[in-house]
Amino acid sequence: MKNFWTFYKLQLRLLFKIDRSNTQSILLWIVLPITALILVGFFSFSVFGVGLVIRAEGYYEEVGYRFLSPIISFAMIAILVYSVGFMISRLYAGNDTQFVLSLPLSTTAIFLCRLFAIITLIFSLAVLGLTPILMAYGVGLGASALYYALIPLILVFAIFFPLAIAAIISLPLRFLINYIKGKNVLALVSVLLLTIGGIAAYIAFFVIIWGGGGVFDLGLGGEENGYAPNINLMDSIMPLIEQFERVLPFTTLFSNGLMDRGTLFLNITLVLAIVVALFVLLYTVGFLGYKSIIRGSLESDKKDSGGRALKYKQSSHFKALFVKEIRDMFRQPIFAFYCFYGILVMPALIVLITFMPTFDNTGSGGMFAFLAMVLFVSGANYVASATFTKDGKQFYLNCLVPVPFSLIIKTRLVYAAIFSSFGFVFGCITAVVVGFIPWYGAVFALAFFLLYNTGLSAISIALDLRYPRLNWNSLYEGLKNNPSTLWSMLIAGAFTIIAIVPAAILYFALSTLAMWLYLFALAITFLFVATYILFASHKNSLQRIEF
Amino acid sequence: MLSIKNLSKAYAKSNVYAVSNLSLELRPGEVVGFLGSNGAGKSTTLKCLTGILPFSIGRININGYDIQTQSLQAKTSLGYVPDNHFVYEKLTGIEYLNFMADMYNVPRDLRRQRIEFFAHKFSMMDKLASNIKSYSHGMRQKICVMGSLLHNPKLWVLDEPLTGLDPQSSYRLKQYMKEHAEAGNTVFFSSHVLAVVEQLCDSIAIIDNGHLIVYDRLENIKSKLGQDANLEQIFLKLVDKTYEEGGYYQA
Repeated sequence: MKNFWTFYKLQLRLLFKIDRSNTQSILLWIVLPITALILVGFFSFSVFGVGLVIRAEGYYEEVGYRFLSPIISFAMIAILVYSVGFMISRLYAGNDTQFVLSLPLSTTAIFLCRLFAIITLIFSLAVLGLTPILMAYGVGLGASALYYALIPLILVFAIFFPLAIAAIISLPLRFLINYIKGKNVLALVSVLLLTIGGIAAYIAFFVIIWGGGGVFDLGLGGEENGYAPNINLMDSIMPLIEQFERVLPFTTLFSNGLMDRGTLFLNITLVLAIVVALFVLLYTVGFLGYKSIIRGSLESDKKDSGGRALKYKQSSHFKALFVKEIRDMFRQPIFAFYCFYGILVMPALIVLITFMPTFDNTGSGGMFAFLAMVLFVSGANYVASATFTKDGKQFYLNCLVPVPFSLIIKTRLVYAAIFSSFGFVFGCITAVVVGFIPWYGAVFALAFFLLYNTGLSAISIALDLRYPRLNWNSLYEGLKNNPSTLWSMLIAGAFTIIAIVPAAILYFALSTLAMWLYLFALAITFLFVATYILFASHKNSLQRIEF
Repeated sequence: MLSIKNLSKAYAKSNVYAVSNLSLELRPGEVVGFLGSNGAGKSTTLKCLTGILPFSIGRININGYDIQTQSLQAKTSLGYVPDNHFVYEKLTGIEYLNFMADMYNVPRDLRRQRIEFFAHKFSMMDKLASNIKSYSHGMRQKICVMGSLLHNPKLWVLDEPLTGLDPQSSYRLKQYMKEHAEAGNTVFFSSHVLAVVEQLCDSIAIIDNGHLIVYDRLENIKSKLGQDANLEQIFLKLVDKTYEEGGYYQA
């Protein structure tokens, strides 16, 4: 037990210690608290305001504690993001595996010490971050003493759920992270993006709450300022709360208990049961993952080289080329930025459309806007349209290696199609959440987009092989001067018109089925034509390349 | 081992032939030096014979395989070290070597053995886990050399291989070029360092303005052009019309 305690303290010290020799690490430790402080300040102020308004407008009974669901959900998302980082870097990874296994401690004890240290760290951060927000809401709302008494339990609940999820998703992520160089820079950029995202969420929050676009106008300016007192708090805020309650129903346990004291005991018991279950899940998944990772690291081929293992793994041509594409993308930040931009812009645009004051997302308009947007934005697929341009002067290796060039093209097509499909997958999920299409419509849309996107990737690769920009000095310059991306977007634009206009006519004149049949026929034809062009033209295109 | 017949190559945007009617026969066990002034057509010839650059006139056979019609078999028989040392700089050394070994189907145990052998030979063992981007010019050259040798090519083509190497690595590379040829393979390399070519090569090919002007064993060339002349003097006599023996030195 003494050893356990000593090792736990060591883990804590390692977690909280700042590497002063590493500038990136110092920057991270400066940026992190400042980011957290700004976000906590923003959110405390806004939830305090919400609490005040709810109380002032007399909706204490109807809304009151139910607003805890969005607060707890947001907290869980934030904790999840940070937990994943800690799980990867502190729980599953570590260059001290051999050393700690030589200590008089069992593997279980080592794992538990690491896990408890992470829980301690996350709990400390959550107490510092979430407590002011919960307190501010309570003060604004004029909450009962019981609410304040339950705050520690809310904290525990809000921490264990994301921790258990983080333990699961950080296992595959840990393997992916091996492909990434400059992890501290990546962490720093992620934190900055999170800050910007947080502030954007804050602004969006205020747009909804304070009626910037007429969605929820409290009429605070009064009639004399030209604002109609279009106040209907329930109509405006309740869909938001209900949305969170639908997605994460267990976050309602606290509000249910607080609003109906008769069920308080039952709800608190349920909370405790869920926390215990989550801890068991966290421990089981985490420990199995940890054991598998240390077994892997101890039994794999090792040849010490600068402290890192050298692997001599043999792969097929396809796999080797595929892995090289992944590494090429993830290790060139500017290229990765363009590639991820194409993916992230889709759900972002869908959400933005919903903010348009006059837009009605409940009818067919939402579906057609969604389809058209995804079809057009798919054109910004840099993975395909810059696949050879990004090689630059290294392009010669494609011609040198004794592998059919058609296989190189096939690999790049598969990779581009898979990677860019994340964009419309996220797009479909977002579209279902915001109500643009029903879930079964999303299934049709996914299949349709998959066919279309593979075809578009093929034609983009064919264009890039025909007109590659290989003589660049910086990749940014190469990507900027690459005409294939523009052509891809023009093709995507043309396809959008050819697809959407007749589809809309079929939808209104005949049926939804007729519309989907037309879209699928179009996408399949496009896929065949595009892949034929790619594979029929590649030899000719290759002959034209001289460097 | 390598047979080039009537190779001519003009770039698409030019009417001038970078290589014109070039023919060469390289035999197993030979180290052949490829000499020429800047822009003479050396790199174009090497790129054509490695399958990097397409050409419409002439034929190139490597180990019995036509580089244009049986390119995969031909490429499997050759290893190439480019003059620009462009390798995937976002990969680590070991990732690049594994990638090359996968491309040439080198089995796991053999690749391990060869990577370790070459890494020790070129003092690269402790650098293999680092990103190629962090490598110096010479280290990039070494990783290119290692990547080209993993499949033990029958024909090893090197474009300016000694540029940027430290004396120790340069010596080891030269030694290995000899060893590779002695094992029954062919080594074909271009260089501007005539002393090295003279020291290392069995035969020499000299190209000027795209035309092959000499291809013979070094002793034969010397016997024809002056027994006492060194390679530098022979080279200048052949490619520089303004050169007169001793003229440069007298000036």
